[in-house]
Amino acid sequence: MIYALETNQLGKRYGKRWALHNCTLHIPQGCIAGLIGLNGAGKTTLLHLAVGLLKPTEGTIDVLGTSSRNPAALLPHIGFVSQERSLYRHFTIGDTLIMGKKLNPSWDETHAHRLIERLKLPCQQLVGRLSGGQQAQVALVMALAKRPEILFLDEPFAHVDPLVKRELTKILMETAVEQPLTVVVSSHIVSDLENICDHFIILTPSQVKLAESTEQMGELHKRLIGPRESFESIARSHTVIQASHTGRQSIALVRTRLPVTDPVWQIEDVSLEEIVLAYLASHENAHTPLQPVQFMKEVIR
Amino acid sequence: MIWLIWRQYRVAMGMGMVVLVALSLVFVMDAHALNAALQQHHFTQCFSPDALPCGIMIVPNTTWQWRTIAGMVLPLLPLVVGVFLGAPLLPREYDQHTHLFAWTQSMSPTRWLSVKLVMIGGATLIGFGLLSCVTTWWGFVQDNIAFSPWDTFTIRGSVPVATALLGLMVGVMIGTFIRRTLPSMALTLVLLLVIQAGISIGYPYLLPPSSQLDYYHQIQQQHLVGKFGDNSQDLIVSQQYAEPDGKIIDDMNAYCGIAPNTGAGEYDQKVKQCVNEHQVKPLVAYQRFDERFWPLQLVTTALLLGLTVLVTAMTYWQLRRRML
Repeated sequence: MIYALETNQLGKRYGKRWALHNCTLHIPQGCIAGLIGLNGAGKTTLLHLAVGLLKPTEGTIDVLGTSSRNPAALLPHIGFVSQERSLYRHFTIGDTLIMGKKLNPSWDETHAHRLIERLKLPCQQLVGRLSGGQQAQVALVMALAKRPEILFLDEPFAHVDPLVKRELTKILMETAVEQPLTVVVSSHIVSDLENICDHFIILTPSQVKLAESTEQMGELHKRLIGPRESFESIARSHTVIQASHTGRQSIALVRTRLPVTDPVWQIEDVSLEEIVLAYLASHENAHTPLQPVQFMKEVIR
Repeated sequence: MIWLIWRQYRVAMGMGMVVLVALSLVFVMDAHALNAALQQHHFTQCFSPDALPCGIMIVPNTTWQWRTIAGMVLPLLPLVVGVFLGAPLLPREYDQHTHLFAWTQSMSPTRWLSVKLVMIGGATLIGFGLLSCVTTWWGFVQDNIAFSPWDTFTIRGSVPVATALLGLMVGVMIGTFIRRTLPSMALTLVLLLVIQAGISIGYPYLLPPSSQLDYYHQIQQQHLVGKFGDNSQDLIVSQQYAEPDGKIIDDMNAYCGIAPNTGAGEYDQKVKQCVNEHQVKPLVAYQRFDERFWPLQLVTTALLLGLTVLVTAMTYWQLRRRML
């Protein structure tokens, strides 16, 4: 099976600091994966490694079965939108489109113009004079008009207002329907990704914490509320991500495959955002009993 | 990609062409003025202040002729190429994050760099090649009279072309390592000034002198045609003085009693006086114009191109080290 994105013990070091360490991930083709992490967790580093803008310090990273270190073979199949405004500012939108056409053999001119018209972008305008949101839109159009098989979006919603965000999301979802497309989209805001992603990858500084589908996340994570004295037995049989104790009561967010049989525990479903926040917070509490490799296997299934 | 380079560099290219045409015009006019002056009077009068000038006067009533200016300005052109084209080539992309966009189209970063270097390097080659054709022709006209052809060594023939290519690639290499526009430009300027000075001073020594250390007679003749040499087109690479008995004088200033801060013109007079008085014999070794001008051009060019290849290799090594 060829994965859309497959990393093995991937690491990137800047000087003495590891921006990404021991990262093993398998993202199946056709999914829309949200890459969630706090600022500085290594999201951008992972995406830059994937598109060949950086060279890994250790490990391997393959996109669509091709090593990212072979950009000539890989780049025609990839769409990438960077977090920074990276279009040429002294080019007009029209110039930018010509550049896309000249540099990409798979360029879809009609698709590009349809998207530009739909987003009501002024073709004669210099990119540097556009608002941040408009620049983000042009960048996304450029990536989509390549007709990529996999799309990497680094914080695409950072500069855009809610209306544009909704429009961009819509375009993204439509594209994913009309052609086989894998999307990896990063954000530090869970609500940005909640509605569009079917897989989540949670990155805490330099480490992958969790990578699985949203369905699995919902099924496997529960909130348990019960007496404090039986917390220890719960912690033995289930994996506690986050726990808080108030008086005699304990509230625990656990990850488990086993049913919780003890009737003293009240079981609640938890929202995606709560799960993600628990994982992000667990980095600080050192409640890190789970190996990323374990989750990776679940994604494969 | 060619479209992209054209779109990015059309202003620079236009400016380059304007400069090329303007400089060529001045050189042609200067050569024409020199030829006209030679038909009217003997070339020795070129040096007398009241005669017609033998070339275009940039500042009237001075010795600031075009050849003087050209000798100062033209060696700076490769620096302009290095500092304004070479050094910002990559840092400008990094500064504005456009490398994230440019290098994630369907062309790999190394190929992107290669196409850019071939195009910009090619334009530099053609531009400086054309300019060098003009200066080389102009140089031949100058050589007909007493001006030393060695004064224009670095601005004619193949040397200026190779210098410009080296300048470009030094700029690109420094930009690849430093990745910031202004620091790269500053460091490129300093490095290229050093290289340019090195070439101007060092080129006569790239080949051994074409003549042995020999007695130097010209200086005892009355009119001073070029400062040195029994043929004014030869270049003196080493100069010593010997007493009549053949003993080499180590310090000419002490021997003749000349103060160290004596002006150049007065110094020549004093040396001449001293030489006549004490029967001192000057000894010199030459690079003869006929034998060594073009071989030295070729050797210098080869050295510069060798450096260019080295610098280019370092550029790719650094880019691949970070990325691929």
